Amino acid sequence: MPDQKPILKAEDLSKRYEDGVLALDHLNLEVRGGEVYCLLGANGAGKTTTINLFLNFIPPTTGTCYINGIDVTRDPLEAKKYVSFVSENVMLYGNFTARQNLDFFAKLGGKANLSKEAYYQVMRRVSLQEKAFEQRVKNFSKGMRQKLGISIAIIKDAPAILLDEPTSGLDPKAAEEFLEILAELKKEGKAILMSTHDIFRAKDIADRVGIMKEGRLVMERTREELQYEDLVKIYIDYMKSEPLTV
Amino acid sequence: MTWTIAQKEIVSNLVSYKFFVVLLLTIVLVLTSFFIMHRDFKNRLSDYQVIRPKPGDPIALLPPNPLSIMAKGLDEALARSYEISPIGITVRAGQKSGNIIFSLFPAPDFLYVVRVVLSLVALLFGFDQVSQEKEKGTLKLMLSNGLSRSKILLGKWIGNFLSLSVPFLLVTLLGVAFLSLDPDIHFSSEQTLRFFLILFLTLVYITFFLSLGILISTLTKRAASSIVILLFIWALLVFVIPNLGTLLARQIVNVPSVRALSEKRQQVWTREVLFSQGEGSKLADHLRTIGDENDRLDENYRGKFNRLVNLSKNINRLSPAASFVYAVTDIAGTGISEENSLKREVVRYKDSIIQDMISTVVSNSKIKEYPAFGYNYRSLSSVFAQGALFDSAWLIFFNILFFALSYFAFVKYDVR
Amino acid sequence: MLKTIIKKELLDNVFSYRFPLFSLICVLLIPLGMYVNQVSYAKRLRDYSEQMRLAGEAVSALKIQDVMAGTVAIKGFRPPARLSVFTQGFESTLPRFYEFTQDGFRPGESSGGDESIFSVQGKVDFVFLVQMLLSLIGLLFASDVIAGEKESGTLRAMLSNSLPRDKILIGKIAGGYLALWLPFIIAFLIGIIILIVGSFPFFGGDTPARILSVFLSVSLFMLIYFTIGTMVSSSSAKARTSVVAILLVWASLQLIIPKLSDMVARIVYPVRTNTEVSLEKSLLARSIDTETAKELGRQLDLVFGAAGPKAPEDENSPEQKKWNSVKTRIQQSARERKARQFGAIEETYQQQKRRQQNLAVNLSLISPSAAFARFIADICGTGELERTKYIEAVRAHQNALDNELFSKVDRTVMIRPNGETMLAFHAFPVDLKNLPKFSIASASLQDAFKENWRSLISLAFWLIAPFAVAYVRFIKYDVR
Repeated sequence: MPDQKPILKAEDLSKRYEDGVLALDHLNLEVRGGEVYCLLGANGAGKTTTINLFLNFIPPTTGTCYINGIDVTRDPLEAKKYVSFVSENVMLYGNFTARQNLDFFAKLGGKANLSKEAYYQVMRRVSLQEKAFEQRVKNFSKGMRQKLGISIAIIKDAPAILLDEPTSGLDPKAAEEFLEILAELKKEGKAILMSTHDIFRAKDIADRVGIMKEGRLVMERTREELQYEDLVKIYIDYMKSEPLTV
Repeated sequence: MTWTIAQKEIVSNLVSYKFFVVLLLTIVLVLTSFFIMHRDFKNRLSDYQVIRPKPGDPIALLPPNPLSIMAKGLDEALARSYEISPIGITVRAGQKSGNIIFSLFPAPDFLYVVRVVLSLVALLFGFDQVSQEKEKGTLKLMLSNGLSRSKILLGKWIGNFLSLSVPFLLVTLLGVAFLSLDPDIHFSSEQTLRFFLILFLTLVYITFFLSLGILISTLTKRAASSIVILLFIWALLVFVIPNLGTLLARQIVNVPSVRALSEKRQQVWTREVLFSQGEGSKLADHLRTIGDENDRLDENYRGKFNRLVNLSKNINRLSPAASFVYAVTDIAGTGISEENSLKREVVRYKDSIIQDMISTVVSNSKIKEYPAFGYNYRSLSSVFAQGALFDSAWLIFFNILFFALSYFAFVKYDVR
Repeated sequence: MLKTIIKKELLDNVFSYRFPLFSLICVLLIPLGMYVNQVSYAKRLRDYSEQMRLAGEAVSALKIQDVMAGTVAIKGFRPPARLSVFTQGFESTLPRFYEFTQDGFRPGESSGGDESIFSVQGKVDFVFLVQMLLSLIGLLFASDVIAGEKESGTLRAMLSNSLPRDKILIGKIAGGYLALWLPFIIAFLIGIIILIVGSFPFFGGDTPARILSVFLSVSLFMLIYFTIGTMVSSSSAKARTSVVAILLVWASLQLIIPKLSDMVARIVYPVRTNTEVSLEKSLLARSIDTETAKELGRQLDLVFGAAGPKAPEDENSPEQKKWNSVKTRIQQSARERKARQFGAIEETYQQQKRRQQNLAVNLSLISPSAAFARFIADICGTGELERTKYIEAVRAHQNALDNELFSKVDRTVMIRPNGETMLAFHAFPVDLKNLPKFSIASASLQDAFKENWRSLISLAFWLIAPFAVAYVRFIKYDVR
């Protein structure tokens, strides 16, 4: 694993918005295949900005994002072939069924001509209720939508997966199921970058954890290191400490 | 408490982008309308000065009506010239403004602006009230504060009514003020009263749509899709139903095409009259027969035609928009009943001078000078008696009905 | 990839609330608009045939005495435009007929007449429905093409894939437009079927080609408004703001600009009304006629002496011959004077009108609605072209009648110096049974296209420019 090239890489990434706010300050980050990296931090710390930069939704002020070695700003279309995205609030086409949504996004992700059964299999895998497969998505609960979101990511079968607060608003059971799926995907060799508030679950699932504060990555710990330190205590301490001077 | 909510509505409207746009729209449309119709009126007036009948001519021709600036209605039809001759009445087109572009687009009078645009605006305003608050979650917040639903609705209604009507009234009064600067236009006190009546009816009309908008938004789930329902209903009320009556009535009442028949007679009689000069009393009798014959045909035609018109009006009245148009045009003096009244007066005029005319032709004497035609627009009381009161009451009834409906719908509304 | 997006967009619309509702609106109102106008057209056609017949009878009963008495008034009727089922245009304001007399032509009543009182509620024809409703619906449907999707985050989901933005935009426009176009096609076909069932002369001449042109123009019109709506959507962050903006756009394009343009033109180039010009002409005619009559009277005395010509007139007496040549000379010069001065008045007037008209047309082209309305009116034969052709035909017919009929009877009015008025008749043979018939050379479909090149350019502009703006905006659109 250590000699493997990182699938997701942020190099000296900075973002200053038009109104002058420095959202990201020289971020350096790497995620390899078969690894789950959890990005922790308060609201406005820069987690979502990082993800937005990876997806080329906004251009960086300085620095570069690489997906599978491809510069996201220079060749976004090529780069996006190698990443799947699950947003915080998965919104889909309400008038379509779960399968129809899956079908559409599968095609967008380059997977055409999949059979109905293939879609059903994926949806079963994420524990979506059988009767929901052909139901219109507009009546889905949040948990169901998140599951559908991850199944879209699964079917694309891209080497990297970006998730923005995937378990927020989920009941404990749904969150548990969701993270189990992530664990499976990790075993399949995917590089997973996930932003979250949920310290407790992060401790369980992450191979590495990064804490962001005011645009900077102030701390990184591996799973082993966390066995000897109380993540919760560290996190809260950092939150309570003096604001970082720029 | 109601007033607090009303205030909140007014203030949130004032700072909203949507309100600004609507205000802009109202100002531009109303002022443009006054400007354009004023010009049109001036052109027709100067044209009228050119073609007005000389004293002694047996011609009935009305000058353009200043209130047509607000509601053009049938002013053009009312401005036709009626020439009396021994064999009957010849109708010709009257003064023109030369403004032919109106044919491709409807005349942008005040009535049109209100009927078409402001109704849509009020509808959207009303619609927005409930759906927006629901989507913002503020509705739940208000209700969780122990505020009775009826107070909320009333407050919203009052707040939005004021937000809509006050700017509109100001702009309209501004427009009319500009009009009164024109020396050629002076509104008598009766006409001023009519103007205010029209304004009142306009407010009633607008508030109907406000209530309707609120009603629709309480009955539908998602705003984006329900806008189409809104549009459909608006189109139905403003365009379709007011014309449906005419279509249906025609299937039911058959009106003879009397024009064709009178053409033939006209030609025959013209020759007979012109070439049997000097036959004295025989000719006079003949002319009288012709006249009576014409009158009979005309009455028959008119009777059927009026039945058609009344039936079509009654069906059209299913839509408050139709009633609104009827009421306003009647009050402005450019409505269907006014046209009817004018025709009757013309016939009366003809009857008063026809004997003299016949004897002039018969005795082949010099052209006589006939008394001028004078027409007084129907008084307000007869306007109301002949239908405007019904239309106004009908409009007010719709208003109350839909306010009540929106009230009940809101009280039962599912906020989740 | 593009097909996937188009299909998704189309289906998304079809499965939503809006599609069945819009289809209902279309299928109800469009055929209704066509049907209502067809009924009216059938009636006007019946009236027209009847009146033609009667007028024909009247003409065949004409005697030379009528011509000498100067009471001949021949009517020339205009057939109602077949395609007025689609748009009334100027149909109800054009005179049903013109009356041709010794002294010139006069317009008869317009087909408004008694029927006009039903117009108090506004008229609802096919083109009106398209302009008012379909434009608004097109705008509204397009208003959340981009803004709505963003709010629901699907835009982000799409953009996390290897999908170029321009493909997304084109796919959305194509798919969304199809969801509008398909119900329209069905409604239009239903309308056509209703027309055919109602014995509308569908298959005749270039009617099918014109109807196809109408269909294509309306389709273009809808696409234009849909694209404009997309442009507004790509410029707003929220669907709600775009709805408001759209209402403003619609009102300006639909209501304000078309009317304002006419008004501005009238202010910039004021023109006298037709009535004033006619009045000037008739006053002029009267004064020339009086002068001529006086001159003739004087000459009469000079030739024949104070006693006047003896009756019966001796055709071959030298006085008579001299008188004839004098009379001809005076009348000729009077005619020339009249023609010249009338010509001058008419020329100036027409020039002024043309200038004003041109300005009004050019200004109104700012609105795609106005451009569309003019163009379609001309296709249907109820527009400006028709009016021009009508008046041309009227003038030509007046000329023809003057040559064949009115000039054959020489009514000479003479005012002698002693104040006595004399009337002399001289009739040349007239073939009363074979008088020229009035007919209007309708403009062809090619003419309609040619005359409306400016409208077509305006429409093209309104299609391309908003698309370009939407494109540029969307490429930079913030999807966060």
